[in-house]
Amino acid sequence: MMSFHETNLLSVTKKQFIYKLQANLGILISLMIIQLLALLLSTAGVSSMSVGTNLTIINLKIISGDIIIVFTLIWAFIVGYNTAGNAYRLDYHFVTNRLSSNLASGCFLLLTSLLAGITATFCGVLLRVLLYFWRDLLTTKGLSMAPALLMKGSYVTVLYACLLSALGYFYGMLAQRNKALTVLIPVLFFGSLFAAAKDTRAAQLFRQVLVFYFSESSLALFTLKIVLTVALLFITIILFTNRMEVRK
Amino acid sequence: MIALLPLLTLLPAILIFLVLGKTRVSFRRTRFVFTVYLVFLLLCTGAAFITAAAVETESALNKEITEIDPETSAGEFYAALSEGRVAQLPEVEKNGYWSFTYPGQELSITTAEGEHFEPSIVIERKDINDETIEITSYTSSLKFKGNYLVSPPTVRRRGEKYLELTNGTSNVVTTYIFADDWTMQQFSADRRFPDYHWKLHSLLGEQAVVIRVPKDLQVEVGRGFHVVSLINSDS
Amino acid sequence: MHCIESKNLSKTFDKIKAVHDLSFTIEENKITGLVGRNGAGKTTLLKLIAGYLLPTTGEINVFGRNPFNNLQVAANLIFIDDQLALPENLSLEETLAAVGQFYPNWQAELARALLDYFSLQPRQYYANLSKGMKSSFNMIIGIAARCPLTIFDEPTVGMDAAVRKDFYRALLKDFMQYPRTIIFSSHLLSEIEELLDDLLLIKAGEKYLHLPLDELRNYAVGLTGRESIIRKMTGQEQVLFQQKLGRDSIYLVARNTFDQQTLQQARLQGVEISPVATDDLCIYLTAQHKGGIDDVFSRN
Repeated sequence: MMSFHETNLLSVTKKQFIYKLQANLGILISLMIIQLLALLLSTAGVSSMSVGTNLTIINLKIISGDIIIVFTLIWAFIVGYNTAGNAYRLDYHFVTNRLSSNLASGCFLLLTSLLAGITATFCGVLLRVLLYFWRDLLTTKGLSMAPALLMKGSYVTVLYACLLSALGYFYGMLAQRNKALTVLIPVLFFGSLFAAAKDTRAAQLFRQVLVFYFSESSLALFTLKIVLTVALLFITIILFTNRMEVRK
Repeated sequence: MIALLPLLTLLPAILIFLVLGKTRVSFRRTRFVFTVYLVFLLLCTGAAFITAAAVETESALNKEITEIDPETSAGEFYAALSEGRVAQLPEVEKNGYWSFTYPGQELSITTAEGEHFEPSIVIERKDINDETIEITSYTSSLKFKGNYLVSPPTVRRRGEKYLELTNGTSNVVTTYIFADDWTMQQFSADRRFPDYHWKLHSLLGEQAVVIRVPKDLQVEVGRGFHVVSLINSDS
Repeated sequence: MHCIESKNLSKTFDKIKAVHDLSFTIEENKITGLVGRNGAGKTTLLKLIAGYLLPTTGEINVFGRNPFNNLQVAANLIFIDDQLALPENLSLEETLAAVGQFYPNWQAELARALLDYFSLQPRQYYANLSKGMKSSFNMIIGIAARCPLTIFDEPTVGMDAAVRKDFYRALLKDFMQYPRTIIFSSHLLSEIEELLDDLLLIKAGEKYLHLPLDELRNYAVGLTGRESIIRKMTGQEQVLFQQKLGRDSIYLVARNTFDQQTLQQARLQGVEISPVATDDLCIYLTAQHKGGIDDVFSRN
């Protein structure tokens, strides 16, 4: 004789999270590939400058983990998008409701952002070590960064990754509800990026949005901004998907 | 730069989509491979600390590039040059010496046609007429991989009364420097991109050629030279 | 206690009524067969029960609650169909472990034994399985989960007859040990007949019949004989199916409202009386035309 089994949100979310983790762990391989690819691209110098007299020219290649971080953040966005699709496709076969699915996705993205942010920063260290052995350095300064600096870099990268994956998840969920948005949003986004070269109102808005996050110089305020944005995105998704029909 | 942004975003996005679409790695293998990756990165960080600690104590270079003050070092160099004591400056080294016996009365110093001779020159009269011209090249440029960043000039006699000084071979040096990631810079006190230009200029240093001539030799300096001073000269 | 209660339930997709004004109750711990033609609204009904879809009008209660987006209902229900999507990067045994953690009554050993019995390799990947093997695996999950409400929507797609038989048996055995509410939708009523307690027959989104299987077996009789005699016996509303056999003989299926005397008399007049197989009966009941496909051809 079967009896009705009472459950609670927390335990279901936890199970869902573990399930999601097992189902989607493969994306970490792509993270690795992307980071190593970015590392390879970075060995030629992330930016460069030339200085010289008529006789001697110094080509200075500046090495940093910037490309690795940018690639990682794009990865984070796409993982957010994929997670939304997978949540829609995989979650509702077993015990779940819309809220627990979204919460489990959130936990999953938090974990991937954490791993992505930390590996991105430390991949930058790997880049520097490789360059030390392969190239002629002007100075070894910066080869090793103070642990505090590494921690700060990782922390900030993790926050950016959280933001990007939340955006990706948001976009993915919109796309699940309306396929037209799948096309519309990238068109608008890249349109405004191209427009950013010109000086339109959209470009100004876009720039202001960038400045809002990228120019924040207080770590505490920056953290607050990211946390609030991510929370806002997730609350919107939860409200938005609460009446969503699944497995149509 | 900002116009490139879409391309910079699109390219990796496409790549990531390709990679994500292709990876169907089993759970176990993923966990194993990624753990190896994490451990590897951690070991590299350890290696970076150890290497950096070992290197930074032995390399004077690290100190110089960050602590150089380009303005005072250039000023000191030229002051010392005009006072004939450039050889005594600690950061200045001799990177060429030539001497010729010259019994003549007049000497004309020239460089290649239409060229500008890069090092500054100083002509110094000796106290005696020893019929010898001595040419010394000095530089405060940095040694990079055992070589000076600037190469010494070529010096040769041409015809009866000509001394030809031409620029040394031109060098293109590619070198690398580490900068902090932008995620680190965003919250550093020194947020602006460090100004490498000045520092690099000072790395190239200054160059000068000191020509010591017998007491009574008539010296004529042709076009294309920057003469800093004439030492012990009456005229 | 009622496990499922539906009141005037309707679901409309783009003006098409998939489920229309459906009212029924399903008792606890019974196996109910859900039967209907293609497009009758079986899957839509099951998805409404599972809480995947929102009713357009009406009400559905599962365990006394509205199932839509309901965690408590979801925790006590498993829905198995051939659309089951499973993680691509997990092997079958890993998948079983990953799925099993959701269900407090999960039978890991049973799942493993069934996997073995149906010759599925634990190290295999779901994506590489054949259609029938996928169905087998889905059913293993459905059985091993031992959910208070287990829904199978056409779970045997692609399985061969032998495997299907084994599965019916496995399901029945497990049900005997741990009774629970099971809804089983299938085209192959004759095969699952032995399994079922009740049958819910829907036609064009509406309930047509809902009765215990024993009653269904006696629901109708087949009459073969001279048309004139048989016509006299049966009123127009009783006839479920008719087929001309010759010039004046006919096979006719009618609702079994006859008393013994009438039947006895008919037999004497040369009418052959036969039971009607349940799956044939369901076909007759849900048919649009009383003459079946023959109607189409006899018109010309």
